[in-house]
Parts: sequence; C-alpha cells; structure tokens
Amino acid sequence: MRTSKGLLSALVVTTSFLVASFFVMQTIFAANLTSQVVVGSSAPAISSVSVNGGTSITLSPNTTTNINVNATISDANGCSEITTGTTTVLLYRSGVTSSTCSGTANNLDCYIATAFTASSTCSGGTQNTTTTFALEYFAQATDVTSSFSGQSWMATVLFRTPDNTTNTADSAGVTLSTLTAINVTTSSINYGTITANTNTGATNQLTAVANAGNSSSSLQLSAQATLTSGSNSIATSSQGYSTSTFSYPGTSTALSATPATVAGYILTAPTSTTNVSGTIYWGLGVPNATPTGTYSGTNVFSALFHG
Amino acid sequence: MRVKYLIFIFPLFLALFFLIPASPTHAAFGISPPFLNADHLVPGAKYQQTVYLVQDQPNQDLNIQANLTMPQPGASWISLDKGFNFVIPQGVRQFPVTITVSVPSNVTLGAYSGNLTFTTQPSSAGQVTIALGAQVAINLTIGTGTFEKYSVPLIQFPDILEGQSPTVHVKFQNDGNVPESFDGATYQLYDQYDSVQLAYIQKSSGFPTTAPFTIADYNLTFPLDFYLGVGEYWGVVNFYKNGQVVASQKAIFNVLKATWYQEAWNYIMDEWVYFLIGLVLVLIVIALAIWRSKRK
Repeated sequence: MRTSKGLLSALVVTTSFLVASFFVMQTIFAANLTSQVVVGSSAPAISSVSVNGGTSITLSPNTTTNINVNATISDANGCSEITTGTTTVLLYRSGVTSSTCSGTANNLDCYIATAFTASSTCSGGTQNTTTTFALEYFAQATDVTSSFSGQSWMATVLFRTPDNTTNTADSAGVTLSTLTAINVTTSSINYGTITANTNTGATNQLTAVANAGNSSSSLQLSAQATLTSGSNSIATSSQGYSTSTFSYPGTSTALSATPATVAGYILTAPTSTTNVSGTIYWGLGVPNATPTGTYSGTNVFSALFHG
Repeated sequence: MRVKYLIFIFPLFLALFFLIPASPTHAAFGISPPFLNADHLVPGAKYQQTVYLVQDQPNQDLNIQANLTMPQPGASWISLDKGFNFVIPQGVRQFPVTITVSVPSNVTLGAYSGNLTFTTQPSSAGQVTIALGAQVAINLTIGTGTFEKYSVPLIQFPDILEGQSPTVHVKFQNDGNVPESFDGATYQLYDQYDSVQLAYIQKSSGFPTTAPFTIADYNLTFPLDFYLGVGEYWGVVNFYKNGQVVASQKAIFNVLKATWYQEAWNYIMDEWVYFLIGLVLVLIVIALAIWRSKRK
C-alpha cells in the first residue's frame, strides 16, 4: 500500500516536472519554432505586343496621327506590382533598333512613351495596356518604294516592377506607308482687274506650296475649269506660271487642262515640323475683245510622288 | 459725246474683273500610298489595294473626282469601290478607296502602266479657286511565274468562356500570286504562372486558305479533351508550312465565367449532332401526333 502511494507520488512529481519543463522550454525556444516563407519577386511577363492592330500605318498630312501599341503585362506577384511599376514603350523604325531608340526620341523614326493607359481592369496580376503615340506626318515610310524598304515599324515594351525585376517584349513589324501630300496655303489666285488686251506684266500672284507628307514630292498643275463668266471664257493657256518671278509671259509656262509636272520643282521630305515649301508665280494675259465680267475658274495643284 | 465715247471705247478696252472674296487657308490633301505596284500578276488574277485619300482639316464634305489615265486594255481592268465621283464625308481624315485590278484570262503578258488622279472639287465659286489633287502611279506586270510571299502580322489569343477550347486569331497577309495557308500548328497550354503545361495540341487540317493578294482574318480553335475552367492561362502557338515554323506567338488569355445560356449554347455546339437527331425525333413525334389527331 505504501509502495503504491510512493509510485503515485513519484508519477505526479515526474509529470509535474515534465510539464513545467515543457513550458520553460517553450518559453525559451518559442521564437525559433515559428514557420515562415519568403515570397520572392517574379519577373513580369509581357505578351501580345502589337502595333496598330497589326495593320499598316497610314499618316495624315500636315498633322499627327494617333497609333496605338497594345500589350499585356502580367506579374505573378499580383496587380500591385503592375500598377506601381514603371514602363517604357518604344515605337520605332526597325533599322533604328530599340537600344538606339531608347536613348533619344526622334519624330522621324523613334517615339518614346513612359506610361500606358490601362485598357482593362487589372485582374489576377494581368493588365491589358494601350499606349498611344502621335506620329508626325513626316515619320519615315518603310514600304517598297521608300528609302527603308524591307524595314518596318515595331514596338518594344519594357516593364520594371518596384523591386527592379524587368522584362521586355517586341511586336511584329508593320509597314508605314508613304504619304504624298501638299498644303497650298493660298486658297485662291487674285489677278485683280485687268483690261482686255493687256496682261499682268511683272506683277505676279504667288501661291505657296508646302510638303505635307513624308516623301519628296513634285507638283503638277492644270486647269480643272477654265476662266469663265457666263458664256464667255478666257483660254486656259492665258494663265502662265513659273517657279520664279517673270514679266508676262516671259519665262512662264502656259497652263493647260492636262496636268503638267512643274519642271525643277521638288519639295524634299520634311524632317521636322518646319515647312518645306516653295512658291509658284502666276500671271495672266487677257486677250483682246474679251467682254467685261467676273471670271472664275479652278486651278489644280497635284502632289506627285518623287521618292 | 460722252455716251458715244463710251460706246466706242467699250469693245476695245473691255475690263476684266476678278472679285476674290477672302477665304480660309487651304487644307492639306494627299494620298497614301501613292502607287499601286502589282509585279506578279498572272492571267485571270484579281488584285486589290486600298489607298487612303487624306486631309488635315475635314471641316466639310469634300467632293472628289477620280480620273484614270491608262491605255487600253489596262484601263478596262481597273475599278474603284467608291466609283469615279464620290464624297468624303465631313470629319473623315483618312478615306479608303479600294482599287481592284481584274486581269482577263486571255491577256497578253507584259507591263501596263498608268495614273489614277483624285481631285477635290471646291465648293466655293466666283473666284480663281485652287483645287488639290493626288496621284496614284499604277504599274502592272502580267507574267506566268509563281510568286510566293506571305506574312503573319498579327496573332492574338482572345478571351474565351469556360468550357470552350482555346482560340487563336490570325491575320494572314498573302502578297503572292498563289493561294496560301498553314499546313500545321501546335498549341501548348500552360497555367497562369506559365510553369505547368496543361495541354499539347497538334493540328494538321482546317486552316483557311488566303487568296492571292489579299489579307484574311480568321480564328482557329484548338480542341481540348477536358473542361477548361475560369482563370488565366498562357498559350504558345506555332504555325508550320512545309515543316518550318513560319509564325509563332506566346501570350496570356482569360477564361471567363459563362452564363447559363452561354453554357447551354456551348453544349449544343459541342454536341450538335445529337442535338439535331433529338430535334428531328421530337419533330417526328409531333408530326405523328398531329397526323393521328386529324385521322380521328
């Protein structure tokens, strides 16, 4: 009986000791038993980069044209990595290369953007983006008759997360089409009042013509409608033009109904928004016995691709 | 005396007046591209090219007259989708005009050239107005040789609904004079982290053919043998021709939640044969019932 009590007492003491030891040890080593995991930063992924929906780029004359670059940016760390990251989007002629373009923008062949517009709500770490570039009318063409035939315009998207992981992706190339266009800044030719059997003499009317495209351009002139006043008319050839001042008829070329290329008149492709322009000088001879009246007509200025 | 003098002088010194009201600065006008070079036409070929008439200030409707200067028989092969007189509506900065060249089968081989001029028609009157024009140089070469040239400028992975199979959108540009198509494709499906491959699909038929000198947009579906649930996935597609990879793309896409009627429609589309058989059986039963009721 005494033996049983002794065993029981020993059991209780031992158990108490073990329990006390457990709590002491737990207190001492508790910090080292906490599990943890470090979620690393994954690199962003960029996909579906496209320029202008994969179709050729057509520019508008004397102004800018908006061209979109679309891309999808994904990050396994979630949307916060995307919304707080930084981006560089390049749109350039392929011959320039992305590394050169990333240095300095040039309206002829390299455009740089440092932000995109979200074209969808970021979900699951994926963001669809659109970056709009305003291409100048003189951006260089890459079609078959251009100086850069065989090249194309492409985009490179670079994305950097806040913890400095990066990735880049390129688009397929698209053609930028040649644009041949002119801007005649004079809307009409005013010869004033001229009596019959006389001419404008050394007084020329001036029309300024500017290249509004991305190609060299020559000029064709013709009369769409000869000068008429009711049933009366003045022969088309009575109007003369020249690339320099003249005393009618002098060195002028007679206007005709058939388009004629103005000799020696070439407007080279612009390289900036500074106009490349020239002047056409006009004169008129009114034949004898021409009845009085207000004569009106239409002269056509046509741009002609010159390479 | 004064009247007599005037009557005498009048026919000799007739005055000419050009009253020119002030008008705003002229807008710029042009064309892009300014050429149509079809170097690889064959007898019977049909070639199309779109040119854009462009302007910077589309403040009003603009009347356009087109004029083709080209010797016969070449001139008779050319047509414009807009005709030779049309209007560019106000507000349109880039106006497309598609030029179609329909080469007869019995044509003499050789080169044919001409010009197509587009001229604006000024709406104002009473002055020496200035109209603007732009010209397309047309150069056609008719031969007999086969010319193959194509490109794939765009491959996209559109979002799909749950239960559907992955789809790839392709823009195929055929610049050659023979029909072209892919002859094979592979599609790899990965999870949203691009780390686990979920499917590998091979396709060797069902590729649309793109006619000579045309651009085709089409979708290709890569059938899965399992249900693809809502989420994000990566797709990798490779297109082959003559055993060579000619186009490829890797991109992420979404599988979206489908509504019940979209699921029903998908089911019908997937099992359309059985659905059709069931529908026919139901119609037969209805017809029999009507026939019997009328007989009674």
